Amino acid sequence: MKTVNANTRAENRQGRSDLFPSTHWSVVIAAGRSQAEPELAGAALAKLCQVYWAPLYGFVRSRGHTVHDAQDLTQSFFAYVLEHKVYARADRQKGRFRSFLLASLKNFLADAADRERTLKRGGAQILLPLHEEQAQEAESLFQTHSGMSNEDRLFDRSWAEALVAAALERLWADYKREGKEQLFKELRMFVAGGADPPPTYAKLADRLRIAESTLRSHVTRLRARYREALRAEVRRTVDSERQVDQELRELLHVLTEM
Amino acid sequence: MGTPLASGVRVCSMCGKPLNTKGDCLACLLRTGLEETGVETKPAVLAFGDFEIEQHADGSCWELGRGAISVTYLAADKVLRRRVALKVIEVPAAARGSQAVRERFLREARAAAALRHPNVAAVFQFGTSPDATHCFYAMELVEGETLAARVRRDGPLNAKETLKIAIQITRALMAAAAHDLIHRDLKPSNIMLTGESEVKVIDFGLAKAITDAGGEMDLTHGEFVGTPTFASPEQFGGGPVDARSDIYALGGTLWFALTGLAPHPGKTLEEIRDRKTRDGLPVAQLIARNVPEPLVKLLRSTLAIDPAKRPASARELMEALQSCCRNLTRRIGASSEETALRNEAFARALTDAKACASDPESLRALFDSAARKASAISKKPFKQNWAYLQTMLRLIRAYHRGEYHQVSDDALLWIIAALNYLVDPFDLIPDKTPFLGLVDDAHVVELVTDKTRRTLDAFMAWETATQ
Repeated sequence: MKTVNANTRAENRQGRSDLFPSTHWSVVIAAGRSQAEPELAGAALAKLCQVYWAPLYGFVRSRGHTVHDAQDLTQSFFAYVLEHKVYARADRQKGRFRSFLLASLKNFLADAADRERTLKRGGAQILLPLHEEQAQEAESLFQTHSGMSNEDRLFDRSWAEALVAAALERLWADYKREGKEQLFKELRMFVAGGADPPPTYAKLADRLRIAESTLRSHVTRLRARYREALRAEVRRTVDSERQVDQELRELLHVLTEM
Repeated sequence: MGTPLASGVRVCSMCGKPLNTKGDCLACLLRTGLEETGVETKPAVLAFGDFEIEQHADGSCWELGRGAISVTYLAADKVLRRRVALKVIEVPAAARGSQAVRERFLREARAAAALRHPNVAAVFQFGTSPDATHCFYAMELVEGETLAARVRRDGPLNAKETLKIAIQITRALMAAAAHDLIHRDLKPSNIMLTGESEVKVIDFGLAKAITDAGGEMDLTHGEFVGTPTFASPEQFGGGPVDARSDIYALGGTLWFALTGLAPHPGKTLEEIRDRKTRDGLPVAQLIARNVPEPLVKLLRSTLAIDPAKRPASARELMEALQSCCRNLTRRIGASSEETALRNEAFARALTDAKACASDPESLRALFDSAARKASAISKKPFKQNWAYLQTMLRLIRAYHRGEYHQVSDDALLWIIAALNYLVDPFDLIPDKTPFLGLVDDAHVVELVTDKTRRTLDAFMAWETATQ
């Protein structure tokens, strides 16, 4: 049996950390079913929803709503989910957060009466804070992919964007805290790809004035840490480790089909 | 340079997929997440220090509980070869590397480890991961369920059961006070009940020692960790936190045990805080559950907004609880005397009723008297009206047999209302209309609850025996 000891396996540091995310989907469902601690579920879900605001917004836009209406509807939808504790009815065994949100949003949009009512009552709801920058980014993302005919695919694509953005942001924050933000900027292309081919290790090592072996080590470590950060983000939205792989494969499949 | 597609969209130099608006390759970014996972391997065992986390058959970790930033696992102590409950807490990023936070955790952990008491789940060992991202401690594995789970499953507890639990928790708090330790997160889910009705308080001090680095929870920055429902008003940042905060939390926990509800629920931290400091206690919840007045009074004092108005220490709280218990015992003793008096009154009322049977005028006077008494029923405990109610039941039967014709309509309505009270003292039957057409015992028996049926059966047996 393979053993990962927290005291000795430094390379799994990030992985251990991610075993206990504070906004895990299972926490949401577990807390949502609790009579005594409903505020836990609300807070956890609010954090999750904040990350995945853009895909939901894009989906609403793809249904033909204007920018302003789509913003209102997306906000109202989250308020509806939080207020009515829709998450409390989610099936933990079957439900991934992505499919749960999309199905819930479709139901919400399909029910015009609910939508109207929620819009009217929106002022009194628990609304997620929405920044102008966030709204603009979501709109820009929608415009980029608005040509896609399948709205579900558009949603999945946007979801993947939000997912990797959250992972990269998390990794960036870690590097910054460690005072290695410049290193992260230099090596980011080894993870995120790009239009230009990456420089050779020798050239880059020379420019950074470090040994080539050290550079290789940095790149390997960065990729490992990014991998764990990404998987941790996915883990927040699914119920088991197996579903992490499944979710990543599905999203990758969506991209390769395009 | 990157290869632009005909449409002008730039593509990744490594995989050829279109780049996103930020110039990143989404496909590469997702694929990296799947690296090294092609080979199916047995899931790794997660270990902290000497403790290995147990796994289910499917390889998933065996969780015993989960909080906002912590997970409690079933774990095996590899050295001592025993099972423990291992709590693993993620240290907030802001607190990592802080010497003050580390020292505080160690200080509280040592105090908790030194605390040995039958009503406290013992802390065996504690530690932090080398990278300071996690703290963990191994606790005595307590077989049983939490108070929260018990109430959710079986409903609220009665006063006697609740007091029994309260006294054991207070013993734990007294022992903690001797070590200058406060719990800081006392709540129904931190109270374990074993099969022998023994109480074990878990999570003494430690979780909050890590997460609550500043000594108080900062509401404005969203740093409130755990549930605020049972936290004291001063834990929201209003003042120093001491043993009286635990007393407040214990009050809320007992309230939950008695009613199944938190005294100040809310959807947001702000709402809960405002309710705690602004709203009065919903004492009607306790009255509806027939909680004895001395216990209501005690809960009022433990849940006082001003810490100075709460019992000053666990010892003082213990004295109040014991006084409450004595009071309750006296009430039980008194009820035996009441039974004798009730039987005597019952017999007298029955004799009166029999004597009146042949005298319509006297009967009317008796009915009117019964009606007046029935009108006051709602203000009196059910048992004190037992004799009158039983007499009325008998008289109504006689009325429906056509033996009495002089009874006034008002009196009859009062009697029926009283009878409703008799068959359904806790107002469990939503529609009492059938009783207005009460004509035979069978109909009543169909409608009443089991408890009331037993009451009626006892009455019928008693009546038969006395005739």
